[in-house]
Amino acid sequence: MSVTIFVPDIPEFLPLIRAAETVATCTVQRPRNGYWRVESEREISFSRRPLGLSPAIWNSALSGGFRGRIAEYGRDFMRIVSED
Amino acid sequence: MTELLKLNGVHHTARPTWKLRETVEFYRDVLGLPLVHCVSARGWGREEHPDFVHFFFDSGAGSTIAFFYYLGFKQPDYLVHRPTFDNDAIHTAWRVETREELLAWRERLESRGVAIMFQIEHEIVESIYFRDPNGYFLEIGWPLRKFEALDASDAELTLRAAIETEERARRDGGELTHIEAAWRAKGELLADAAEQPS
Repeated sequence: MSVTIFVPDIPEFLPLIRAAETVATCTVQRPRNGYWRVESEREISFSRRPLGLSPAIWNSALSGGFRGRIAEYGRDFMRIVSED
Repeated sequence: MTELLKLNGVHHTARPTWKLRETVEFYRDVLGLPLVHCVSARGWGREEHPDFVHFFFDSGAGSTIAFFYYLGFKQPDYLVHRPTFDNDAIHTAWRVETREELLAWRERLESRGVAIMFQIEHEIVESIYFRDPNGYFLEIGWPLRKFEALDASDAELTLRAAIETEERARRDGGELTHIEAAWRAKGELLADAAEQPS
């Protein structure tokens, strides 16, 4: 198994994509059917403040859907892990 | 024929009030919305329907916000507005076009003693929130961007995932209690779609 986050290709979510592109263990696939795909073998994590995301957007950051499991999702840090 | 079935914005929304003077003064004088119409009538003969005053304020672009004041009718407890998220889900959100206009409204309201509870930038709108004398939740916002085709298709997918996840949970005797389950279902829908040839 692995982790995939689907991110809608709309402006307010782009900081997530820009952040994921800088992480060596993540691959980012360009939008297909309107969704970027952020993939990783084991886990993907984001910190809110460096992304400059408002709390409102942060709380919807996974609303595009994902495969994996939320291991942590607090006010400023989230970690999505593979299910196995 | 479909042209005949297109709604053309809001004529009015209406809520009851038990504060006649305060409501008129707030909407007409504090907000500055013109009072444009008032019905005053005897009860309609239906069981216990009291006499009433029904008044309308112009909220722009042909829309109005209206209130009913029922004479001699005590406010039932279940209609007391409580300042909690479930009561506040019923709210009116007015549109302005720019951030400058939003800030001008904020300044006007604060200069007239209205507390601005929040100023929040959501996905598609930045808004200020405040209350009227009834405690009703009001919002003024300006659109940060237009709706895109993807907003609509994404909304369809989110709701499909939520409905299917809820139905599955109920079949198992449970409820949909966390959005994570719907997000995961949506992820599976998107993964399936991606595996099909485009």
